[in-house]
Amino acid sequence: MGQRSPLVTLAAAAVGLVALLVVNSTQTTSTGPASSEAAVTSAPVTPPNTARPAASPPPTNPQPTATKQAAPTPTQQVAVVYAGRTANREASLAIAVKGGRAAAYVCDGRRVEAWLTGTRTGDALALRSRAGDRVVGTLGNGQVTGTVTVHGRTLRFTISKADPPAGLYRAKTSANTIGWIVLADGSQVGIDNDGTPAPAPPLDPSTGTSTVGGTAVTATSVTGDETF
Amino acid sequence: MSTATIGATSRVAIPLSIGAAVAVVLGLYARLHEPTGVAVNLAGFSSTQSVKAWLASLAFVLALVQLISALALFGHLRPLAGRSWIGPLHRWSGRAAVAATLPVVAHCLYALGFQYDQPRVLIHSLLGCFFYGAFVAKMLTLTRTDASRWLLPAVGGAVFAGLVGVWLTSSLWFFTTFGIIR
Repeated sequence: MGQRSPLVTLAAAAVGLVALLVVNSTQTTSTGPASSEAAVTSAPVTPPNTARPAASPPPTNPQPTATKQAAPTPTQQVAVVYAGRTANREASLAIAVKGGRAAAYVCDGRRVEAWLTGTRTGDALALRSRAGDRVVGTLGNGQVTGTVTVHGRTLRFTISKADPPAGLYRAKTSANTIGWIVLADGSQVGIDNDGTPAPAPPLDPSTGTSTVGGTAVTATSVTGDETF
Repeated sequence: MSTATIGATSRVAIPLSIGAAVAVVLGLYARLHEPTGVAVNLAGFSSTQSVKAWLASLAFVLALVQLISALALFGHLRPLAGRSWIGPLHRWSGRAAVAATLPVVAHCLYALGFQYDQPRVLIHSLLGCFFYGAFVAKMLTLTRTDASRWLLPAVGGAVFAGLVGVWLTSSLWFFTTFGIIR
């Protein structure tokens, strides 16, 4: 057994690690092409099913103040929505939790979006989109902390409970699906996807209405037990 | 007499302390470096996380080969005793295992960093640093013919235990949470 071969192995491992770190760092600067690729692949995300009627529930969330502090148990069928931005403000994220189920929407307000559904087990949230995007988070102190992976990018987030009119809204017409995240400061981001994602027109959160291409659409508030 | 003691101590202490230093440096880098969240994705997999989970699982399987071939090298497995291919198998499966973990650790270090908001994540971060420290200590131990007899199995066992722990807190968790998916 050669005395040098372990050192060669060690050096090769170190060089390999450094090379991979460099490759990773080149990815940071090429976010432009990465997100355009994401925009192309996000087109099939738009689900073809219209199983849920889009307009029936009122846009405001039933959120009794009693649940404000107490951590909701899985038996409580009360919707709680968390909304905010990712750690470096790359995208906005809203997660609605109802009982053991959760639904989430991630979007950058321009081209990248994902609708996710999943489960809540104790304090742990795990959601997936049809395209394989993921949200993993932990509930605690009125916040959700975790990571979201959209089209291969993993972003960290800590988002807080959002009381109406802040929250997550969705409208579906025959041609397009629109998602809006209304943040606690009243600002909103959204994407109108008719096969090609584009910035959404403004939503009036008090009435849950918006005008898309001259037509009025009604958005519903996402509560967490939806299927997208 | 005293120089002999110092020599014996340093033979053990030098590889171990360099390994410990590597573990600490990795942890510090992971903690102090601003995580970018950006990841290189691989074609054919649904996400970076699943790529990492599968690569780590490959390393885990190779680590089992490592354990068995190491037992054979030390003569604990009678059917495999004296086979000449055991040594090369041990060396190359080990190199392959470490190579498989490199893309994973590069992503962990660069995009995610050292995190501790959950017990699983804290244990994973600590074990990840420990694994590479133990790997460095083991490679350095191999270069010394005068090392104590117990040292090589000890650091080898530490590398194996570290990898198993890292795998349990990441890939196994991933597969049990999301299912066995690509």
